[in-house]
Amino acid sequence: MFDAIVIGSGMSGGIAAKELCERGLKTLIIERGRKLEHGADYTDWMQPWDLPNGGGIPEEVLEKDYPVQRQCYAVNSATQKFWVKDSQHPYETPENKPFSWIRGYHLGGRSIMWGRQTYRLSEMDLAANARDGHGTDWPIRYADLSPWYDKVETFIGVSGANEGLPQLPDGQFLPAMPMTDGEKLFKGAVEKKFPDRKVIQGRCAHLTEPQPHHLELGRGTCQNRSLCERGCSYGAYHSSLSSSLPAAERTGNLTIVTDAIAHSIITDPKTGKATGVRIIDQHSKEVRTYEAKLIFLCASTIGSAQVLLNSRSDANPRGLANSSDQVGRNLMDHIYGPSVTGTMSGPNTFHRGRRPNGLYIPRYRNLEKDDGYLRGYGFQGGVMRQGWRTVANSGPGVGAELKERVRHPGEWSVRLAGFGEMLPNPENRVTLHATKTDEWGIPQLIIDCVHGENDKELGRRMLEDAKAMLNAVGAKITHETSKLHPPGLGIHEMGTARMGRDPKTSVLNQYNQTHDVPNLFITDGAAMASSGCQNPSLTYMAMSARAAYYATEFLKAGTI
Amino acid sequence: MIALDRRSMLEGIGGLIGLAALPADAFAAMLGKKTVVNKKAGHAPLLDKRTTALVTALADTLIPRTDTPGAVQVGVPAKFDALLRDWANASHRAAHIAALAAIDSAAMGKLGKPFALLSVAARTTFLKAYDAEHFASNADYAKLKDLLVSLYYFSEPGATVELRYEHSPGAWEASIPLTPATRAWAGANGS
Repeated sequence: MFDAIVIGSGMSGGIAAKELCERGLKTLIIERGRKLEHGADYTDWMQPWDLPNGGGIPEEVLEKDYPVQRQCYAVNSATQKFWVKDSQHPYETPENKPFSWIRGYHLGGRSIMWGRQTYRLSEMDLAANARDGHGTDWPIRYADLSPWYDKVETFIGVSGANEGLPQLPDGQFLPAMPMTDGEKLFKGAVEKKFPDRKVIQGRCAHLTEPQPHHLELGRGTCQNRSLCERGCSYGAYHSSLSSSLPAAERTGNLTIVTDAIAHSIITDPKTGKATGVRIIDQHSKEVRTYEAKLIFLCASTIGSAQVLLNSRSDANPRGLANSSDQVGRNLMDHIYGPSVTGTMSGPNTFHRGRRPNGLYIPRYRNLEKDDGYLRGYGFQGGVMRQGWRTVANSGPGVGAELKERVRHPGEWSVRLAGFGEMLPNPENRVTLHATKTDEWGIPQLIIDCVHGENDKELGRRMLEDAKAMLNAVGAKITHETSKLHPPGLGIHEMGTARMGRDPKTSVLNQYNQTHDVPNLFITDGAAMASSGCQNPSLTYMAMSARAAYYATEFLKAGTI
Repeated sequence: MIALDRRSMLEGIGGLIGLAALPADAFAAMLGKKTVVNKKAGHAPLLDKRTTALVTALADTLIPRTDTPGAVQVGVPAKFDALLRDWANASHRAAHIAALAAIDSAAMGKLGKPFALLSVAARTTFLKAYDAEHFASNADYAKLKDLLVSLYYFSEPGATVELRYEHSPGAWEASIPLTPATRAWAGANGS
């Protein structure tokens, strides 16, 4: 019998486990995938000439085993082992409604391969549903999250600069990574032409100046390698393996069980409380049960919904914590796809190192004035000299002439890609397949999710705006696309067990506690009542730390 | 990992490596040699001798030896063979081989000889014109060229002798002078 079980060891589960352990709870992490060793299992040692097939996974392997995962930018022959085989983990989508579910099943989950961009939601984001009536009102506001953002940022280490922008609150930052001269020029031109837009240095979970509490965990300074998705042996970016799990382990309160697929959460029909988790060993298929007083479900937005839906019983035929019928609904991802690339003239300078970060343009639409649609979008991008492959492919050329061209840094290349806020819609949902199961006998998911009209409008507007900003700096546009990627490919899935004030219309209360099962908390992306347009991991971590505090207090008080 | 066994490739093309540009009669000699099995990887080359000679001549023409090693010196032909075998799917493999054959038949049509048997000057002149005509309009050719060129810059000499590579730069220096002597950074992401 444990005090607490955390299902999932990724971004959210890692922080939840750390906080619960530090608050004295004997905590068990259940991870469905294999164990990974920090350092030993990484491939960041591979030089360019070590990369299998020059970085390419065999095409027939991609077609057979990774038809969905291959769409993700970070999938290559150095990172192949960090992604699930779609062939082994199937799900269905209705015809003409693709959804790209990008995932990795191993200790640390996607915290190993994440993009590391780290932003706070603002008061505006948390009030958005109340303001325009889409979704249900968040039961918390910025003041509720702010101290937890502080705590998590301090712990994980975030490089960034304070900007004083109400729509993108400042935080506890390590030194920012400087802009290139091309970026400074771009910033100046955009901010002059569009006074309501700010071009800022990206905020990312990298240690530019490790603090004593980082060094204690064996973490070191970012080496500017940009090999991050292979795992970082320096522990320079926050991941469960480099950061939250070692912090949890040193309390002496942590137990980790890997290869344990959460099948369902068990409840006591008499009390309605959760008593444990039923797991299936991924290799032996043995079924075991672990018991605890408190359960944190952090299996990822879609994974957590699957566990709840599969925890159906006579008392809860629709699944656990689902009296509202909102479990699995309101699935969101950031609107992603439209992007622009161009070349521009700029200072006769270059840069050294591979900065694992870029520019960020925080949301500027629908702040005070009404732009004729709802919510907004931000941009990620950068201005760097073109690399060798772009230069080589920039035009015809052969022989010594081609070699001479590629030898030198290329022109300044400016890129912007939008990330937009998708509205919550109860019809965008995941459900259990009536008959099909995976190889462990767990019902497969049907993911039914499409962009709505407002979502598509955001996609169009973000492309227009990106082009206008490139024009502001006199760039020549070399590539543009208006195409929205299928939902899911933003890899920011959210919303399947939303927080809310009313148990009839939401799954979680203001403490990330399920309305129906008092000792069950959900702190991953499933909890999100709206999506903002900011990269969401920091918010999941802040909610995890906050919920761990309240859950521990409730446990101590004997109320759950 | 790419099965690059530089020694067996050396044997395979009859000790040509090290010449600044490969003379046509060397390729003629190669066409008569029997297939050499890559002992390290345990594979015979995927491509037949004539195509291997074509790939070798093409790689040498695209990235010749100058003051730094060229594509043949760093083993691009064998790497390309391995890429077709270990990485490309059947349709792309066929497309790459067809793109190679198209170059050869264009050379035959225009100059009456397979590409590999042209003099260094003749194949350079021919490829320059072929490239100018096909680079923008012929996706199969552009992809073939991208693969051959990229294999060079992925190689250790391509990345460190021709370009510059730091596996662990340490610092991020956002602004350094750019001079005519400044080399581009190599790396897995060349965009």
